[in-house]
Amino acid sequence: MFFIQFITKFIKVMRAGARPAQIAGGFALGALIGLMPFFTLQNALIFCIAFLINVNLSAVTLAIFVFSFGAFLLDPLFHNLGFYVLTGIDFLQALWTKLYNLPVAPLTRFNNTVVMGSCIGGLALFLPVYFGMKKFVVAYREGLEAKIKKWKIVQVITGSKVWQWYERLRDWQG
Amino acid sequence: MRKGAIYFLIVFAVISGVGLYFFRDRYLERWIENSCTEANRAKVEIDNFHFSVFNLTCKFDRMQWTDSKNTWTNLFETGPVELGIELRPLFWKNLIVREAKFAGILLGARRENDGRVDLPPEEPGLFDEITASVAKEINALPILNLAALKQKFNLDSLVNVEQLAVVQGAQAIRFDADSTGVKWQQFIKTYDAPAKIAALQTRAQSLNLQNLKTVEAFTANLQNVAKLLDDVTALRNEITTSRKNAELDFNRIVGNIKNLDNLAVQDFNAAKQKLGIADFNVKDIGKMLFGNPLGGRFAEIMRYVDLGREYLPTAQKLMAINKVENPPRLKGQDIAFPRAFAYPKFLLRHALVSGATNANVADALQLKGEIWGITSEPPIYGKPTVFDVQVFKEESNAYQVHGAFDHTTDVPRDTLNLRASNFRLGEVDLKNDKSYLPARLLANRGAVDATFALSGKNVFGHIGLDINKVDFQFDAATTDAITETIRSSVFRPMEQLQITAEVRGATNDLKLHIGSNLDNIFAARANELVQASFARAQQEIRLRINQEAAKRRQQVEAFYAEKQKLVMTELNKYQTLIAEQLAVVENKKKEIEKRIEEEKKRATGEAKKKLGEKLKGLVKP
Repeated sequence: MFFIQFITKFIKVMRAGARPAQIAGGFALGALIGLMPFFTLQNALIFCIAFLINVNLSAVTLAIFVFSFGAFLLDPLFHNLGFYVLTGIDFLQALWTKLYNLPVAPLTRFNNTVVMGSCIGGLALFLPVYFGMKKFVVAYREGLEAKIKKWKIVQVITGSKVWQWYERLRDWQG
Repeated sequence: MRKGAIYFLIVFAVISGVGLYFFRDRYLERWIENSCTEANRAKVEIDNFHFSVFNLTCKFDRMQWTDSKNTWTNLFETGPVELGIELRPLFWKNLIVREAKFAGILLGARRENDGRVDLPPEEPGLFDEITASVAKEINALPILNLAALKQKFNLDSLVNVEQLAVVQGAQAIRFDADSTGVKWQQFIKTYDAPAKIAALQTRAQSLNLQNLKTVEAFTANLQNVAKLLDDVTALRNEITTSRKNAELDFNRIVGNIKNLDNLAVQDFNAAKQKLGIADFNVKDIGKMLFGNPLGGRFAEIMRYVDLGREYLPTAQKLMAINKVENPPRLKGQDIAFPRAFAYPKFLLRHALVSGATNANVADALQLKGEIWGITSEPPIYGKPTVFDVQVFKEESNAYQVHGAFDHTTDVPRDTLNLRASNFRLGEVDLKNDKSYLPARLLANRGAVDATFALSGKNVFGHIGLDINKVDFQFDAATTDAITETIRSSVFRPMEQLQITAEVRGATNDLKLHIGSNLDNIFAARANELVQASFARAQQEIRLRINQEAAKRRQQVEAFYAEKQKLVMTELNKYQTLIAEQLAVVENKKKEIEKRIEEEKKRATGEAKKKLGEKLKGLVKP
């Protein structure tokens, strides 16, 4: 129920309210958090940034859900990438050694292959996700919504009993 | 920028901090329990953990560390423990304990529940390898010898006639003689020498020299005789060669018959070995008596050394960056980099320990000592883990145990030294199950000096024991007079017993050497008994085997003689016949040659006579 409510809220935001840049920024930050293992120092920092700057928090949350699932699927790729970056590139060894010996830096778990691989993956996707999402929001507001509503899958979902129950509950709550 | 978010984060941080503060003990207790359980592969439990944030100290009432090899027993459990933690290394995610007090340690206590956890089975470690290796050496201990003294020899079980090499050899010879005889009989039959000789005889008889009148006729027949002579000679050669071959075949059998004596000796040695006579050695007694208890004790001590191996990783393991191909999802692999500072992940700088090996004080060995430098990363700490512990019992002197586990380099070096003097010994179980060997050793006091070293995969262990006033105790009374003789004459009380045990070699191929002053004393006492008894047994065995060998030899010789006679008589007969024919033909040849000469002379004489007469006619007036 929370998830449906949350999607509805996000769809509302997509229609109007927040600026496309706010939604896209939130989605990109959420993607970064979602791709990395959850309990790391850098994730906490990105969370704080997402709270402090004016990005859409619904977009952050949705992106975390979506990209966490993606991270699970891409885990072997991140492990291989992280292992290569941490051990296979000679000129970076000095940097990793320096970081390893700095206080607090080990708390970021940067020396973990999955953390490093997903961090690089997240950073590489950050700008494409931001611009892609921004374009999508603009397109959505300019008429894509009507087209999406005609999709069979959307009609099946909105016509389902669960959705009707949810709408009744939403209306009842006012 | 959201101003409200700042307040939210502050509130969130405060709430989280308060929550963590109040639940930290439970959280840390779980975390330590899980980490240690994973490392131990069996349950590790902590009771009433408390972490003081302001003093940076930890306390807990009890820690139970399950023995992973026997999960119903704790490897050790502690009483109340207090740990002081250093602040600075925490910023590097390192836990450094500067001082710890472990009181009330109890070794090998039984657990209230099973400490097993479902983790994949551990790969066999050094301890398993060493145990197997020592067990192999113990199993190879001499199994004789005194048992033979009280054994009523059952010759039928010691000398199984059908299994004797001499019997099987005789059977093989009989078969050989039979097949050789058949082979030559077959040859004689198919060769058909009488027919061939008869044909030659006919040809010889057909040469009628009486009818020959002229030199030309003689010369023509001489060629026939020469041809016949060649044929007879060829047949004679063939018969002679066959006879020689037959002789060779039968001589081989004669050689094999002679070898039956050697087989009888072989049978005798095998029976002796069955009896165990061959293995008697003065060094064996010490090994037999003390091999089990000392080998077992050695393996027990090496287990503690192996624990050090297990929990103190070496430089090689630590710095290895071999890729883990399929780590669990979202877990990844931690890569280690060189450290510029001396903070391992975990270090216990100094600990005071006290405890006992048993809850019952009267039976227990008390422990008291200090440990320095227990760490998860010895190469980074750069110093070995060292401990000095006193182990003592009521009314007895203390054992001094000093150990050093040096895992700072790629090749770990572990040493353990145990020393004690004038300690009370009492009763020592010798773990023997044979009635003629003592089950226990009773002694007054003794001194021990033991050293164990494990460098890489090479083991060296030495135990030196010096024991006063020794007596031996047997498990049950015996009604057997011989066993009683052994007990009373061999295992008499001794004033002083010195034993040295040494184990060395690779962990998977250890050699156990045990020596003692018992060897010469006991060997001399036992030898007297052994020699007489064994001499009797040997005599009986030898007699039985020799009788059997003589009987078989006689049978084989008779069989051989029969076969040989059959073949050789026939071949000899052919040889005589062909020799006769040869003589006949040779005579004929000589006769022809003689006749040719005579004819020639006669012809010459007649020619001369005619010529003389003609000349006379010419000369006549």
